[in-house]
Amino acid sequence: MIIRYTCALVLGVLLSSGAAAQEASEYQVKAAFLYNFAKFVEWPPEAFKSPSDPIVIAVLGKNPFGTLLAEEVAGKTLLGRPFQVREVTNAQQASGCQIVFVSSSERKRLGALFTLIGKSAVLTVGETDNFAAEGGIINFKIDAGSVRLQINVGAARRQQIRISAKLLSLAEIVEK
Amino acid sequence: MIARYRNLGVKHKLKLIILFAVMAALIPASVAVVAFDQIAARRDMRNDLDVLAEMVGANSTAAVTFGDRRAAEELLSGLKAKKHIVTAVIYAEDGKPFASYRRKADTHTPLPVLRSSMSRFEEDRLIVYRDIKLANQIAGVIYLESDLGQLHERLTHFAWTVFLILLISSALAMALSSKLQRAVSGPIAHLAGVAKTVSGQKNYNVRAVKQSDDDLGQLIDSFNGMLVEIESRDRELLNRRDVLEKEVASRTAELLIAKERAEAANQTKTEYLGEIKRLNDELKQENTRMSTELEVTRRLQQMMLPRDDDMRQIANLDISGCMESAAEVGGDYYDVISKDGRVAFGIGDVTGHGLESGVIAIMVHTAVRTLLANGPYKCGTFFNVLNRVIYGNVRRMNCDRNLTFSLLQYQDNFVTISGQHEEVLIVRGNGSLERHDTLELGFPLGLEEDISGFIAETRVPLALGDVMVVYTDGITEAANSVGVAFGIERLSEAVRLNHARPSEAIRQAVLVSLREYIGDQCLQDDISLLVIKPA
Repeated sequence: MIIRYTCALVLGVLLSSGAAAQEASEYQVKAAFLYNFAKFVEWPPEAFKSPSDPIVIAVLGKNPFGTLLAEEVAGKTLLGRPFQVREVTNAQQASGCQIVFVSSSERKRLGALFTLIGKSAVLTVGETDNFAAEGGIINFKIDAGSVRLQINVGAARRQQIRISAKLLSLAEIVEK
Repeated sequence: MIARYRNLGVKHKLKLIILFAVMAALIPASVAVVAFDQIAARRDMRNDLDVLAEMVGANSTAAVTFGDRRAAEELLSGLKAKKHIVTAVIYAEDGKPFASYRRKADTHTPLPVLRSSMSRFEEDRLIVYRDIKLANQIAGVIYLESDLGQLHERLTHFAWTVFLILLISSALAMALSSKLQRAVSGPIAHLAGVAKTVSGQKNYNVRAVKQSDDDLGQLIDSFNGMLVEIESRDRELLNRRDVLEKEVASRTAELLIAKERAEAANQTKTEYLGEIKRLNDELKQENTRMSTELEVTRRLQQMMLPRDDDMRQIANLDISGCMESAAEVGGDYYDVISKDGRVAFGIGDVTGHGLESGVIAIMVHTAVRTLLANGPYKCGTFFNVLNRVIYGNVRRMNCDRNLTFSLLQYQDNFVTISGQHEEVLIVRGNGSLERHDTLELGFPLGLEEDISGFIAETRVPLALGDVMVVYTDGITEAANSVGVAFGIERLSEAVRLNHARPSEAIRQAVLVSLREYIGDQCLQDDISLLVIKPA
């Protein structure tokens, strides 16, 4: 049982030591993180139309995952909800999703993006240095070869997204 | 130990019994309680460790999920608060140790290998593996290892508590028992005390006091009953002893008196015996003398009897006579005197026995001979003279003897009979018997001074072939063993059967017949028999 999951999920911790595989591994890890965030996050009931509605993970901007993210969530469900991966191009499209990964290609338009998303119950995840400070909820931060998290609890509160304390305990809290 | 227990007083025995009973009840209960507590404690401990693993696991989900080893180790280090946790390990989803905690910094011991969810007591520890679940999926495994200090602490704690409870219970039991046992041991101790007084001082007056109506009360009642019984017996014994002592004293006194009397009597007896001996000696001498005298008299009598030779000289008559003396000399007399063709026969019997009777018979013999020699006289004169002589002599001798006497005179085939004596028997030649009574022919001699008025005579023929027999009452009164007398009929018959034979043979036949009749009986009186046959 454990072995099966071991095959399915590869954690960044294991890969952080190998420098050659780092680039590919980084998005593998980030894909796993995106998937796992769903486990520590609660959306308001209005976010879903029905109990079987999928959890939609959107990638906004240039997709750095390739097929990694789709592979990551393939066949997985969380509390009866399947996962869906989408590529979106604007804030409007992003608003209908549950998790939005904002690619570093969008770093210049972050302010406008967050304004457009507004109070929509969308978990925004970025990989830009000031992503959380700008108003994103979770930001990946590479620190000494391993992936660290920054969480803007204020943004989460505003967007009615409840983040588990367990996740918070791992993260660097950004209050804004 | 057991011997010591046996000799303990009832009081202490009761206390010990109660104490042992309390212990016997409490110790197994305590052991059971401790054992059950240990079982419960292990169960609780396992549950607690399970819960702890669950909690730590749950808290570590994010750290495991996001591979945050530091966060995981920080989380595990929080277990320091649980001092019994020896080791804690979180395994990642791939089964490799992800984060670990050791109570003692020890990096040499390898971490335990991953296993599926379970919990188990091992020798000195409890181990738990638990899956770390996240949204129904297994995110990793947590391993906790606890030492059993908690259990040991609890056991020690509990054991001490139980020990204290035992101690307190025993103390309470002792305290209670020393109060409660008095209900049982009190009366027994009291009873024992009374019994000691009774046996020690021999005092049966004391009584045990009854305190309750139970078995002990009954025991005390029975004991008192026994004392009452003993006391009454004692009193009775004392009374009896007094009575006995008095009796013994009085008996002793009586015996003393009796003894004195006996001694006196003994003295008297000795004196009496001396006297008796003297008298006896005298009597012996007298007896000897008397015997001598009697022998002399007997010889005199025999000497006076007519001799056979003399009787054979008498013509025409065949005469046979005899006299036998009994033990004593009697007073029998008979005589045959022949003179001038007449033959006179005298026969008599003096009353009584002994010397006097014998002497009187001799007197009669002499007087008759004198008278016949001097006569002849008429029979009246003859008897008168004879009576006067005897009467006078009897008076002079101062004795009361008298005698019957008949005189028979034969001449020319006739017999003249006179004087009172026994019957005269005559058997004729043809065998016929005649009995001639002499009662009317005279009177006993020596009784009266003058008997001439009583004398008569009768004349009876006596021819050849006839037999005349005269006798004394010694023959007719001789008795057999049953006291029946020989009698005149048997005598007559004996004569009649032999009448044809010579006088000697007739006489012998009569005597044989008499001897046969009386058998081994002795003759009580003299017997005289005279048989006369004309020839």
